[in-house]
Order: sequence, then structure tokens, then C-alpha cells
Amino acid sequence: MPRTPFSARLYSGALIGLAMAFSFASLIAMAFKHAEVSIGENRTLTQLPGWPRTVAQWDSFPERFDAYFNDNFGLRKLLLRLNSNFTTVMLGRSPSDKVVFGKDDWLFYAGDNSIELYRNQRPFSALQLANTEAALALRMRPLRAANRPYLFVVVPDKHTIYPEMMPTYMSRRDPPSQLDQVVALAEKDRLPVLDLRSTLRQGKADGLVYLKDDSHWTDWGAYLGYRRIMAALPLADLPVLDLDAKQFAIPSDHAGDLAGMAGLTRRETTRLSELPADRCAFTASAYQPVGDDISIGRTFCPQAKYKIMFIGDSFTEALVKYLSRSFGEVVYVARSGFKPSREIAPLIEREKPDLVIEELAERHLDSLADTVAQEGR
Amino acid sequence: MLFSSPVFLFLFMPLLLLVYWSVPRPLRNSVLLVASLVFYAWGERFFALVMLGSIFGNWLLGLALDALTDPGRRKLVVAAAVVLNIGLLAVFKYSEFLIANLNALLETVGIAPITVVAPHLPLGISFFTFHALSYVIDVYRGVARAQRRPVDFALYIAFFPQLIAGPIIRYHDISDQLRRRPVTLELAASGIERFLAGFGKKMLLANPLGEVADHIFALPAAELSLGAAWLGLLCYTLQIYLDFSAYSDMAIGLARLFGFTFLENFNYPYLSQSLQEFWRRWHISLSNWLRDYLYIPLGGNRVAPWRVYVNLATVFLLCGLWHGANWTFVVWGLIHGLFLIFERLGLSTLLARMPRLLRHAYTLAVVSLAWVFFRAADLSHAITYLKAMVGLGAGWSLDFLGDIDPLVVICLALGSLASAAVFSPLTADWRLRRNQNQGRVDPDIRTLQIGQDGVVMMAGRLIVLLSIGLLASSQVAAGTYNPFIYFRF
Repeated sequence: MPRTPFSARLYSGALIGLAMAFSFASLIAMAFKHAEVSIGENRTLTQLPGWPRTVAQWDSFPERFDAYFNDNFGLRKLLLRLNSNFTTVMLGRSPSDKVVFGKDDWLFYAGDNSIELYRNQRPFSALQLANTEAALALRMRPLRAANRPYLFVVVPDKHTIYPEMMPTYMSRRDPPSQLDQVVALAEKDRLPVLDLRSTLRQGKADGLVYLKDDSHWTDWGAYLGYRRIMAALPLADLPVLDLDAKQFAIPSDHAGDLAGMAGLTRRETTRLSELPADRCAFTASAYQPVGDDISIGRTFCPQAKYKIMFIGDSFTEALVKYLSRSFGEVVYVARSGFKPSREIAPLIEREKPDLVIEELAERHLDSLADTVAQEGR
Repeated sequence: MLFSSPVFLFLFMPLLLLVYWSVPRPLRNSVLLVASLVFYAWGERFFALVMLGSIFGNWLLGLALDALTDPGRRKLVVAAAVVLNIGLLAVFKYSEFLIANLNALLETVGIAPITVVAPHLPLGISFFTFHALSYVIDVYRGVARAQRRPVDFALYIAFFPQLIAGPIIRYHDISDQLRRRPVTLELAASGIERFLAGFGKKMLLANPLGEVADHIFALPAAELSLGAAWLGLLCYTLQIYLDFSAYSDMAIGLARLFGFTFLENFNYPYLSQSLQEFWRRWHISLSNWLRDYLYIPLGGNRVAPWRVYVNLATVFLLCGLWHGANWTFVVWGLIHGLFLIFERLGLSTLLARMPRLLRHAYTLAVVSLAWVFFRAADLSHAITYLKAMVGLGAGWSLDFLGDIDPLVVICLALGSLASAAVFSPLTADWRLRRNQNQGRVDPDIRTLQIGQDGVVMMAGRLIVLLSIGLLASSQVAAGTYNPFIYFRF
């Protein structure tokens, strides 16, 4: 057999050496890595499982070790960055199936069935609508008995307000959307449901109402939402903040949640409001957990009256500085998705607010119907 | 453990290679066996005992066959081996299917159904059972000697590159390599080349196409338009070839790193001009196995024509069932069997008179339409899907265009070119593969001369292969990326 040429030996050695070096580099890098939290993923990384001692632990060990290794293998961050850059730059698509790239660098959330909702592919069935109505009735019943008003506010998804920025290939079916159905139901049954869509659509003319890189509204969008909520409240003499679009002038850099999920490091410039100095500088207490996935925080504004409870989600964050200046005390209840009344009613009973506002993101509307089954458990 | 999982790529493989090349030669098979058992038990936990039981039982049966000289007794032992192995497969893989069908029959005559808890289906049972059968039949036929060393025999059955998804290695093809297998730098390099090519094919081409196919095949009938159905089938046709052949590429490449040379498993099947040719190019190790251990014992071609047709139908019915315990696989197998019979009845003569393009079109049409049954959840799903393909579904909606983004277009284009062997001249290894007969490369892979391509070609290949490896690894990492919009601290 002829002797292998030097170039072939060099090629073979380089190929084997580089491939092996990469695998071993991953192992070595892992030995020096001790991260517990992934900021980009918004979650705690899985930790090394303990040595199995029981049969059940042995049985589940590979799965637990895989979960640990998947989160912690060396060079993971580097490879994720490579994937993100390659997918976004070369293919113009999102590296995460939870984020959709829209037009002009707009990002849209694709988790929680958001895209199907945008495409009107998940209309509520008659049963779901009946359960939605039942869920709201259950929430309102004890409040009505105690003569406490209740307002249910739906914050629309970003896709709903900026459909023109969604990719053109994503066709939509004719309405109704789930939100259309709930609003129609509320009109029919006189339920206190507040739809913010028209307010936010009108506000688009004066500034961005949602962040391009984030799933949430801008300070301007939150302010418009606040104004609409205040207008809908049945309480007298409420001190409502009155700002002009021009007063949203303080530049701020924002690291959007969608950009983070897509592995993009860019920051978006947005504008925050300049609040008038004559309004109360409210004080706030830190959020404390009061149950699974529920926590409570509160703010105080001595110059204002009324104690209200605001049950909301991540959209609440931008509302706090407006709401807290308008009420003597606001009890903020943070949760994701609609919770069964038996989880919320004791909080209301304990706090005895003058009014309860409950806010829910459009993509979680189906969680109302789901609570009806949970109430019975 | 999957070849494309982080734990395999960044822990199992580097550690195994380190240990394997560090220990003295006589211990290397033991190292590979222990690693293979860990690899299997990682996914199957305590069900690894089923495979160990099969290994032990078949090893004893092999020794018994070797010790016996009386033809009658030898026949009895081999019959027992066949019954035990098929019985094992029947219990774990087919009992639920058989009982469900029996209950359907009993229901028609008003008898209460039988209730049996379906056993867990151990990974790769179809493969290790066929390996075991190959061994006992080879020993019975005198094609190979019984393996006296339990470690070597267990390694033949459990060797991790082929354990989960093949290729199916006949014992007589590998028995010598279990004892002696020289490894050259070129063979190891070709192993890495092959593994990286397969890894890239799986992660960068097959997976994106699979996502589209999965989405479309999961659509409810009311949303399955004509365009969507054809797009789904096109993506699936490419995905199944790219995915399966990629797994074989990775298995063959990994085996070379340990000095083993497996037979080829694919030879660009979508280039076939008939179903007969397709089965000489598709899953070659299975075709070889079925021919050697089922079709020929049934009489093969050397019987009356009607018997040949019955044999073909039987073999392909069983081939379908081997792929899964579902009527969809039976129908898939029967479609292939029927068209092979039609070709023998005169269709192949007719095809020979047709232009080459039409012969390709005929083969691709039959193969692709049969894939509908292979991929569908059940027969009614398959029928619904086929109806949608002729416009009897959700009509002419263009919703499916939403599934076609630049990545899908690139994957369809590159996948089609790869399936058409356009890239095969790029490496010496791939060029050798074009000269193969029933999976055997001629001249042998050990004659491979990587240097014959020239320095520039090798430099280019190094860059391309390492880039593929890096990009495919980044896809593996992306699979572990699990961001939340709400905090999960």
C-alpha cells in the first residue's frame, strides 16, 4: 500500500484533533462554570442531581442528569450566541420558537398560543364562553354582596395593536377573536369588562404604545391604559393624572424580553413620562408571596383617598407609577393567568378594598374558562 | 441517549474515546461493551435487562448449535432460537396491537374484550432481535463459528452505534472485526468526516423539514389544504431519508473511530427508477437481512411465479410490521410488496421502455404516497391526508405558504441535491460509496486515500466539515434553550 502523503496525514490529524479538542473544551469549560441563573432565559438553571440512593432515584437519574447537563454543558453560551447570530443574520428568522420576527425589526411573542390567537384560529367554544361568564360571575359574586365594584381589564396583545408589523406570510382568519367574543358576551350580559384596544390604537398616532423588542406596552401605552381604566371606575372625585404626549420625553434604554428570548443583545430606546412634581411621591412595600404564583405588594399616597386592589400581571409594572398616585392605598396582587376565586376571594376579604380591578393579558383569556373546572376540585 | 444530545456529544463520546484509546488492546471490547450498556441503560433503565437476557440466551443457543452435530437437534435448537427471539419481539412490541385487534374481533361476536396491560417497548428491540437471529442462523448455517467470548458476543448485539436504529449488521459481516480491527489515521478521519456529515444532515436539514412535516401532518382535516398536504409530504419524504441516512452516517462514522467498518445502509434511494432498485438502495441492511433470513428460506425466486409473489407479499407485510405495530405500517409494507409484484408481472418491462424521467417519477410517486401511511397516526388519518392531496380536504387555501420561510427553502433545495448525490464527488469516502453492492463498498473502505483530492480540496473540506459541526452543535444547544417570558427563579 502506498505511503499516505504528509498533507493527508496533516488533514486527518487536524480534523480528528479539532473535533476532539472541541468536545474536550466543552468538558473543561464546564468544570469552571458555576452559573445558577440564566438571565437570557429568565430562569434558574438545573443543578447537578444528588447521587441516587433509591430505585426510583436511579430510575429518574438519567433524566435529571440530562436536564442538568443540557443547562450547563461547556460552551453552551457560545453555541447559543452562534445559533442566534447565524439564524438572525443569515436566515432572517428568530432562533427561538417563542419569538417571531416582524417587519422593521419588530419582535412578537409566539408563546402561549399567541400566533394562533393572532390568526383567529382559536375561537372560544360555546362551553368555554359559558365558563368564562361563570368565572367572572364567581369573582363578582362576593364583591357585589359587599358592595365593592369590580372591573375586569383586558390588555390586548401586541399583535392586536400592531398587526401591520406582523410578517405578511401570517394570514388571519376572519374575526371574531377570543377578545371579540368576550367583549360581545360582556355587552350582552352587562359584565364589567374593559377593552383597551380602541384606546391604544388611537394612541399610536402620538407615539409607540408597545415596545418593539418587548411584549409589553411602553410608558405611553400604559398611561393611555391608565386613563381609560380611571374613566371606567365608578368612584367619585378621583385625581386622574393628565399628561400630554410631549411630556413623555425622558430617554431610556430598555432590554426587551423578546430580544432576550431571541438571544439578541440589543437595547431599545424608549421615552418615559415626566410626572408633575405636585403629585404625591408614593411609598411602596416589597412584594411578598402569599401562595403559589401569587404575591402582594402595596403603595401608599397620603394625599389621595380610597383603597383599591389591583390584580394583574407583568403589564401592571408600567401602571404602578400612575395608579399609585391616584389612590390612598393600592394593593397589588401579582399573578400570571386568571386564578380561581377561592384563591383570590380570601385576599379581598382580608384587605377589604373599596374597589377591585383585575387585569389580564389577551393571550391568557382562556385561563378564565379553565378556572371553572379548577373551582370544583 | 441520542447521538445529537449534549450528553452524548460533550460527555459520553470524549470520555469513551479517552478511555478506549488509553486501555490495552485486549480490554477495548470490554470498554466498548460497558459504554454500550451505559448508553442503552441511560434511555431504558431497568429494561436493559431484557436486552441482557436476549444476549445471554442467544449466546447459550449459539454454543449449543456449535456443540451439536446431529442435524435434527441443530434444527430444533435454531427453531427454538427463532421462536424465542420472535416471541420476545411479539410480547414487547406486538402484544398490544394483537390484543386490540383480537378485541375488535371479539366485540363483533359479543364476547367481552381481553384486558392486558401493554408492556413497555424497549428501545431498539427490533434491531437487537434481528442481530441475535442473524447470529444463531449464521452459526446454524455454518457461515460463522459460535462466539465463545461472551464479551465479544455481547458487543456484537449491544454495540452502541448500531443499537438503537441500526444499521442491522449480519454476524458474518462483522465476526472477524470483533477480534481484530486495525485502525488507521485515515479510517478514523473518515469516521469523523462521516459523523460530521450525518450530524449536519440531521440537525441542519432533516430537523427543519421535520418541523414543517410535523406541523402539517398534525393539522385537523378542516385545515389541511391541497397545497399544505403536498408540502407536508415533500418535506416528510426528504426528512425521513435525510434523518435516517444521517443516523446511519453517524453510526458508520462512530464505528470507524473504534476500527469497525459497517456495511453501507443507503445508496441515494431517491435516484431509483423502480421499486426493485429502491429496495437495493434504501435501508440496505434491512433488505439484506430480510432477503438472507426470510425471503430465501421461503424459496426466494427459485419457486413457481405465484409462490414468488406470495413470498414478496409476505416479506413486505412483515417488513411493514417490523417498522411498527400499526396497520399503517402494514399498508405501507403491502404497497411496496404489491408494486414489486406488479413490476415482476410486466410493469418493469413497460418501465424500461419509458424515458428515464418518467421511471424516476413513477418510483418517487409510489414511494412518497406510501410514506403517507408510514407517517400518518392511523389509517383514517392517512385516507384524510390522501384526500387532501387530491383537493378533497380544506380546498385551495394558501395558508401553507406561512410554513415556507428561507430556511425551509434552503433545506428543501440542499436536501434534494443531497438526495440526488450531487455532493458525493466532494470526498473520497462518498465517491467510494457510489461503488457499492448490497452495502459492500468496492474497493474496501480501508483502501481509502484521503490525500487523492489534493491540498486545496482537503483544506476546503476541513473548513466545511468543521463549520457543519459547529453549526449543528449550535442547533443542539438551541434545543436546550428554554426561555421564559415570565421569571422562573
